[in-house]
Amino acid sequence: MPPTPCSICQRERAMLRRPKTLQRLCRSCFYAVFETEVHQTIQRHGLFKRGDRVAIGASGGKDSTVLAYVLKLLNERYDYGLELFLLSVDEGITGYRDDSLETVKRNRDQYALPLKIISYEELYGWTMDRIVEAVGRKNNCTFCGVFRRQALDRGALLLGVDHIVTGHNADDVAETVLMNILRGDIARLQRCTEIMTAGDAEGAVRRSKPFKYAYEKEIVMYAYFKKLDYFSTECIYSPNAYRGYARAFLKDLEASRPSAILDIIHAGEALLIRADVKMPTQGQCERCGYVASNRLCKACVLLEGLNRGLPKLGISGRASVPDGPAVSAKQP
Amino acid sequence: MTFSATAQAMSSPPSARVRMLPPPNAMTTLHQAPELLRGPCNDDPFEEQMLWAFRHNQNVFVSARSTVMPASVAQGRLAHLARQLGTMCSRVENDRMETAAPSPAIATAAAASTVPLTQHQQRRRLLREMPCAKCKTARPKVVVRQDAFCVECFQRNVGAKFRTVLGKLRTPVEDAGGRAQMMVAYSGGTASRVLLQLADEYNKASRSQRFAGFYLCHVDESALAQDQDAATAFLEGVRRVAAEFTFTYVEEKLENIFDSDDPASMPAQKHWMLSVMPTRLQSSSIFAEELRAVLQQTTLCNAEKLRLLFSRIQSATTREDILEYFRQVLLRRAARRHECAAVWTADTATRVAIRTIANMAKGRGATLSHETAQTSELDEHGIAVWRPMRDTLDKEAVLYVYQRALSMPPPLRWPHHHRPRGKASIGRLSQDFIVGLERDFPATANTVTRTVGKLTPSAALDPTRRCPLCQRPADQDAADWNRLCTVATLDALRAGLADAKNSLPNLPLTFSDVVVTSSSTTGDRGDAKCGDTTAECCGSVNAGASTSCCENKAIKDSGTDDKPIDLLPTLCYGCFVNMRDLPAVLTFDPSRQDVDVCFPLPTFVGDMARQRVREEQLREHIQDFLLDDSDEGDANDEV
Repeated sequence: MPPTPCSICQRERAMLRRPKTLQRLCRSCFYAVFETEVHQTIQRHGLFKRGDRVAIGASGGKDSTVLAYVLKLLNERYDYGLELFLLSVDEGITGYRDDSLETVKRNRDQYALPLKIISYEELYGWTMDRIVEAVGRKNNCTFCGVFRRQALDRGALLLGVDHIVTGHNADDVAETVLMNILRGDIARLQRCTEIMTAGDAEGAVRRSKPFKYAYEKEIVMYAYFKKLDYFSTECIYSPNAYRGYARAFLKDLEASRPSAILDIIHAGEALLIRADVKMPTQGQCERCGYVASNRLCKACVLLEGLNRGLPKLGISGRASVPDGPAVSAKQP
Repeated sequence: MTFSATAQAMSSPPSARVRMLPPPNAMTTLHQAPELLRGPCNDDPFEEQMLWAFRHNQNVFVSARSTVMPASVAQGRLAHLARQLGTMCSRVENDRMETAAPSPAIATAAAASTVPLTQHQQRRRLLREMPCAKCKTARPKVVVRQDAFCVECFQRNVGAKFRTVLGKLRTPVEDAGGRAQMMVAYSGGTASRVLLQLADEYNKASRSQRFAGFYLCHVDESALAQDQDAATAFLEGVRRVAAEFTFTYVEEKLENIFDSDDPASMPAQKHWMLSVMPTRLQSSSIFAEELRAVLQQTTLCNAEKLRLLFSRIQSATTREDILEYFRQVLLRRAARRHECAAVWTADTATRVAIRTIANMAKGRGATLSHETAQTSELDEHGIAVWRPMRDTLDKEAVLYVYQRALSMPPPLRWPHHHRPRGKASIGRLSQDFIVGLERDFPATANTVTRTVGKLTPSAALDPTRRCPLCQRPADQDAADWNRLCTVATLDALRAGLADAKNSLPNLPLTFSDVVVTSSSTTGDRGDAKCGDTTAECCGSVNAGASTSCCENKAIKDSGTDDKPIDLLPTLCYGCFVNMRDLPAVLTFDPSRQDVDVCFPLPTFVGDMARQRVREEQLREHIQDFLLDDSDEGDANDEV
């Protein structure tokens, strides 16, 4: 049988089967298609303005490494006029974060982007290792997720950037949509499909997910063929059983119908909440001024618990559904 | 406030304080629970101390004396007492037994509470140690979620949930025009059997709440059954059950979906066929780019069309979706014919949760609330779908049938039923997912049901534009939306690269070359569409399916009404994805070159698509004279 030609350019020999459409593509068409999709996402949603200072939340993992690479490339190709930075959070997890930060440092040199590392230790006086010692392994993801969100924002303020981009991909968004339905979090259900946070509150830095429509598998494929340098170990504290169910289900769906991930995002975007449903209003934390739904922001509550030796403080006692991290709690 | 149980010595609260402290209602509740208070109430310090502690926002101390009862019983009573007192319940349950130095007996209980029990063990314990959660007297027989009930309370509970939902639903109908006729959908399954029973009892219970009339509608799917004997036996079983009730029995055959609503609209001997044209037959893309509805001569009867359709759809997900929508169309049609205001379906909480997840996975978010709420929006004929069993679990329905020994038709397995094995379809996957979660997290279905209860149909929906296939209001942007987040063709790629400012330093050299030269392929394809479609039809449709495929062309050219209709842009997102999936079989199995790509369609699909296209054309005609908001602004400025 003759080699199959690439179904886009019809010339080169097809090298891979694209997970999103199952088309057979050659390598260069795959790169071009992947990059163009990210570009179109950025254009259509008007994520950036010329002259924006943009921090890339970099964990050293595949998503953020590819994001840094692609953004730098698109910035040159389409002349967005962005000033890019790498921003990493050091949670203080021995054997995981210290290794991945090494990757980020290599990326800094490879892509010639300035890097800022901000640590839980300096922000909160606690490393994740010590938090896990205090609270045990059960709810530690809550701490990590809540703290990371704030840490990124604070790092962004230190860098003086207008915008943070994170490597959340389509799989993450779809999974979060399902999770929020399953645990009845109606406010997050509506928020989690937004590609960019409103950023209207003063001091809040805008955040966006340029990979919102990019499949995880394609990101891995891109990193693999481009031989990008990334760190691929799971967090040593991470296992979250409930999220695991959703993830496994999503993989099954994708196998059954490749467009299912996009379909979930489409469905999530179309959901509309009844006008008479009471939604939490967002205010400011009395203590630190950060966005909060209550009097104090979650980070301050958790931190107070840690400092007073009551680590259970602020962790809700939902009997059936463990309080998994929201989308923001994923590795940046 | 944190409660903890400890055996450490503690001075008993003064008795005077005990007497004046408990709020009167709490006291009453306690006395109404003889099971709980059985035993030496007065010299058992347990309740006294509990009440005292509750009143004083203090920790609950369980003295060493109370541990003469088995630890597990003490624990159960502690939790139960707290539940009696309202708000404190959950906190007691969450934090109880968290102590520094528990007594041996309590320590055992505490250890037991930290090691998670299996669901089975928890059920066993509930049944053994607690009285019925409702009446507090009888021995429980069944466990639903985390509560154990006796048989009477359980059955009353199922009925009460049904009546609560129904009470809310009937008010608007009655406000609008008094007594209405109702149609109960009965599939022959467990949940709809319960629905039937409950509807009957509701109707008999009192004269004032009686509806004007009840119909019972069964959609007969035996045309799709492989084992005709079993299907006949099943149908007879359904009729036997129906005969037990006073409701008027209506039977709708699934194949009648191909009958026209309005016989005048369709010339006899013709029917709509869906002709699928994949991007390129040899292409590796799995998606169709062209779907046309064409009118063809036919000699097929309805049942043959139905079988042909279902045998040709390869994707189990698409098949189950289409079956589901056909059923709904038939039920609504029957309701319209018999002038019923609503169709009642037996969608339980479990079923609603499964449908929620499945519909999300199929991209049907815009109409999700429509499909899962207690009542759907009214359709164009003013008929709604009610789901009075929305708060009942599947498990409860099965238990109910079992306990009351309700009559059931003989079991039947459908080949095309939405029960493909394993990971074949999205519906099946969603079912396994929800049922699996329910096992570990028994509140899953109810949480999902509550969540989707807060949704409302998307603002993007235009109720006047319906998807021809599923008859739901269609969101308009299905194809566009997809194009924007997936670059699948060379044209799209070139468009995306067009605004590159720099000379694509990161692209391979060959690519810019390709960008220039390959435009001819796409152009050709556009011109060749018509010829291709026909040729493909003739080559592929077997003799039985379409006797005169080539007449197609003649029909196409003869009059505007018979022009093939481009179906894809008229579909809602969910149907768009379904239909785009159709040619998957063409590309997955290269050895089957002769595969069929024509699908018979119900009349209403083609008719509605044609109507949509006409409206679109009309709109284009008058486009220049329509004012949108920005134009209006300009006009005002001029004035």
